[in-house]
Amino acid sequence: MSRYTDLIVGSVFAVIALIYFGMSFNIQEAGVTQMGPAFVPRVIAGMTFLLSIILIANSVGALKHAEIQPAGAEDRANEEKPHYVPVVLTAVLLLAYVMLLEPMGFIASTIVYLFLQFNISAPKTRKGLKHQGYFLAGAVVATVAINTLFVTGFNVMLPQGIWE
Amino acid sequence: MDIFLNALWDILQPASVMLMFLGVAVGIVFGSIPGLSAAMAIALFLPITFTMGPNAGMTLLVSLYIGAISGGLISAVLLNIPGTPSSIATCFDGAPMARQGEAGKALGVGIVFSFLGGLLAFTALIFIAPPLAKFTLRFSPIEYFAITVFALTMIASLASGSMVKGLLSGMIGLLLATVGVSPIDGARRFTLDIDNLTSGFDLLPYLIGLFAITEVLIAAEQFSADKHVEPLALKKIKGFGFTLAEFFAQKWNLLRSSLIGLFIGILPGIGGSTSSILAYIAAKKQSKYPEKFGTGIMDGVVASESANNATIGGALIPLLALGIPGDGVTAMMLGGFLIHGLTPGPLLFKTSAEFVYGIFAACLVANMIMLILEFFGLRIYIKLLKVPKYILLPIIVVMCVVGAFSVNNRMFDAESILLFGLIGYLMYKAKLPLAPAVLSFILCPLIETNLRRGLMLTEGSFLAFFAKPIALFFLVTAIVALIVPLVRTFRSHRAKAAGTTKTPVG
Repeated sequence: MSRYTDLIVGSVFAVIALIYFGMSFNIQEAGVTQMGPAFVPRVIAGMTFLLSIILIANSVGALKHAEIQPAGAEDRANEEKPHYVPVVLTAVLLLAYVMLLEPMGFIASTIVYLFLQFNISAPKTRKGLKHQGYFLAGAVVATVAINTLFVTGFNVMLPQGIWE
Repeated sequence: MDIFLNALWDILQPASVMLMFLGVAVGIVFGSIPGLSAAMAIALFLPITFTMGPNAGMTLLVSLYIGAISGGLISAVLLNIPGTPSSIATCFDGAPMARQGEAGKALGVGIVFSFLGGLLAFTALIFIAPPLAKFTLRFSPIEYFAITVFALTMIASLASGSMVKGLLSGMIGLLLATVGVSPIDGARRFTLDIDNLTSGFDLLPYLIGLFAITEVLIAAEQFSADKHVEPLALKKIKGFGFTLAEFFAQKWNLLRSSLIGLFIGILPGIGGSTSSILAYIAAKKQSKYPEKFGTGIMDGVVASESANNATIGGALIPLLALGIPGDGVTAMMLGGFLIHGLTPGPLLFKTSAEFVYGIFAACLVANMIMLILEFFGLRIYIKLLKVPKYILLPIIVVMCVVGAFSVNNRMFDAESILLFGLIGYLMYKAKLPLAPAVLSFILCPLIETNLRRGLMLTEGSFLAFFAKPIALFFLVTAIVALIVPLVRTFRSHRAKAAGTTKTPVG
């Protein structure tokens, strides 16, 4: 992945720039000033496209260079490998939490979210039955504390959901 | 002077002092725990300042900033991991000192010289910012456009690594900032017929998502690896752990490092990590015993800590005098101003002088509070280093969601932090720096408004922008800042290509 990162990034930006440029034609010109509301977005689109082409060209050059002189296996071994499963689980859980916040209410959804997130985040050695009790207690205490802080302290009306 | 004394009096009221104690204490916690940063602390507390008056809100933000930057030294010394990037150079000598049983002395030196570095820089801030603001009062939209473009270019080119990537990161902020109603003529742009997008993306969810949620997702990569490091034990120390003679021996080191920190802070896009490393290198070069650097001498800690705290004062100068933030944290401070309906810049010195001087006073008092809290509360902070991140981070996520929701009491803002968190994470994977994306998001409306106003003044001629000497200077500097690294990259690629074609033959 790392060898092609810049090439992928450059290509993604080039596509975004083109879509953005195309969408700028949907902006209705108000005619108030000589330079309409679409001018700056088009300049941004042009600059983004130009930069993405430079990045693509640079990465192609770097790839050619790498083909002649491949990176040492030692360098790659030294890199710390990221674990993507907890990242995906965290992102999905966060999405579910935000989506359920309104229908379930802050207190119920937050307790569930925190309990599950503690389980995703904790190292394998700390997921036993004893720890489940701690996680549940921690989730309840943190939720009640945050709810009190925002609702009583800062007068924020948090979603009540099922408690309404 | 009277305004300053009045502001100082207001700041010294019990409620304000308590708020500063809270801000500095929380800041130190965020600074000392690796993975939590000054930017995250401010992102988290920005929505809370919404419920306060502008003075109280800014006092809290300044306190968080000062606490977080100095708090980084605790984990740098005791864990050999910088709590914030600003404390990288503190590890070089602070950690060896701790291993030799001098953790108390290293922390004492760090605390005192953080305080002194901050004090020197805040004094400079008080004397430099007002005349600078007075001078910039004469600027027209054309000069503002030029300075803003200059700041953005510098940030993108100096941020880190590849300049093209820095600029592309800036483009992300610009693309997202154009969503919503355009300035001056109010045309809808890129709203995709979604009502919530008509007013554009809100700054706070953007900052919270990009800084806090991104950090959580990055931390998630290492969740399964139990890498918790126990802090070293702290022996009993007398006072701050060093003698008066040792203190006075560091006076030139302190002055030099603080000036480096101040200067680096004023320049956009460089920040505390560079200033502390530069000050460390300068101290080593000027030292009579450079070979001892890195083995655990107090000179290294003095250089790093006085420089990184002086950077705060420096970074506040362009923010207050010009309304242009120099890094991610000051960009968020700018967000703090904007949510209270205040626009930093020369006019603020005229219309709300007591507010500006209130910030100056808050800096000085918060700096003093930092000294007290770090000295007396050190053992509590060390205990906090033991709280596992898998407990801390999910709680921070909940606070982020609630914070984003509370901005406008709508779920859309809470949902959008996920989008920005995901964008930030993808940027991290693509090795795109975050700071340019934040600054360009904030500066985009400023650039567009000033550009369009400037073009109205010059009847549509962009060339006329170059007729104004100050605008000419900043625009030319911006162009040079763009071209020089590009040419350098191009040359190095050519040199590499030439080298590789020769290698197989030879």
